[in-house]
Amino acid sequence: MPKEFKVVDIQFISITRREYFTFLICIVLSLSLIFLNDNPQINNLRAAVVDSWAHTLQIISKYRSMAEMRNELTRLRHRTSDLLLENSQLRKAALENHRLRTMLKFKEASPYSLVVATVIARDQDPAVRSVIVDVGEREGVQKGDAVILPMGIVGKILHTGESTSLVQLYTDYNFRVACKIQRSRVNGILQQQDSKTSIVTQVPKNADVRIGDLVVTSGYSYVFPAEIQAAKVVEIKTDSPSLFKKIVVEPFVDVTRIEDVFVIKRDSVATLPNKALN
Amino acid sequence: MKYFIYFVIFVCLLVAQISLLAFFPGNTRPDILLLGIIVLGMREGGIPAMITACVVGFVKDTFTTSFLGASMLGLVIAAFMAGNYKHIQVKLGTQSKLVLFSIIILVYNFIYYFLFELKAGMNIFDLLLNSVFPAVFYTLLFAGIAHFLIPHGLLGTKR
Repeated sequence: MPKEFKVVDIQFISITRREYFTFLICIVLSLSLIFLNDNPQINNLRAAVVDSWAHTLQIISKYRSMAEMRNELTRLRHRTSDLLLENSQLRKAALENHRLRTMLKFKEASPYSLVVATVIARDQDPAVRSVIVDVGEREGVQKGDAVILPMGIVGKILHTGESTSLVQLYTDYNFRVACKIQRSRVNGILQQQDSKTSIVTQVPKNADVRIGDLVVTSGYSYVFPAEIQAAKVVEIKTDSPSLFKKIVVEPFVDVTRIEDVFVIKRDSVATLPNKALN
Repeated sequence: MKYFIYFVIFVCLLVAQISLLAFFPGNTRPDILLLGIIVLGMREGGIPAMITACVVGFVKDTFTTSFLGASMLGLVIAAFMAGNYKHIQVKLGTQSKLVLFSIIILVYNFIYYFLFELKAGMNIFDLLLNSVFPAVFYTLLFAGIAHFLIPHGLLGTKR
């Protein structure tokens, strides 16, 4: 037998008459109430007791409601932040989806052999003059390959590694590309003037150029095939003493925001007939 | 002064039982008024416990859909049983006290749920399984928690 159950000393003290009497009275009272449940006076008494407690219960109920509201508020705040995050991810996914669809459509329609590349690092300079992409010699990318987007030119491959390449962007001061005004077929050179402005140079003063004209690649260089759009004419300056106009253009590609690009394989440009290029 | 403290404690227990514990999930909930009555009976004897049981039982009954007097009857019997503890000078171990507590709680819950479910016509097996035993377990669990939380225990005998 466990020690706790061991009874050491039991001494019964008789229950007093008062206790029996009280017990009897209480039992009779309880049973009377049970049998008189439907009595209107008992119901009135019941209502009076409930009313007397109403104020206390209201206070507790109010505090309970406040606590519930606080919990609900906290829950809703968490839910809102979750939804904001989800919304942001969905927006990002939608934008990515749109961008990739555009790129896929472009790739399918393009006569060139294109390699899709993702930008994995970029120059920290605000002017952004070069980026690193995740394709290299393994994917058949060579030095000098053109880098484009459906909207326009991006730059060219400057160095290639096994699986990465350095892209010189059109915003680089040393970047030059032979171009022409699409409407009037006037030739020029697209280059960067300063950190913000791109210009077309070597355009004679008497050449037919208007604001809003499209600037496309001419195909005279070995890097870019012809007719790839590059920029739009926004300003024409003829006041300089030189023989040429200075045409300020606005490129179509914002290099600070590029994520995925196409690299045009040089072989595909070389094998295409001139008709396809021009 | 002692009885005034008991009065305040029972008012708080009533408020807690009626307003707060009523929102406990599930059908059964701990009966802290019963625990109060048992403790009062064991500490102060049967008469104060029975009178208190009458009053708090009546107030509790007014807030339930059961027969008016059902809780009252159960609590009075529980108070009488607990009051007898004072008349038996026994050195009881923790397990023996637990058994005594359990018997009183079982008796109370059986009376209460028997009268409560009388209207619904539930059979005795369902009554025990679905109402009485869960309520006994829940109340005992609550008693155990209270015993460990109160510095000298529920009966003031914890060392």
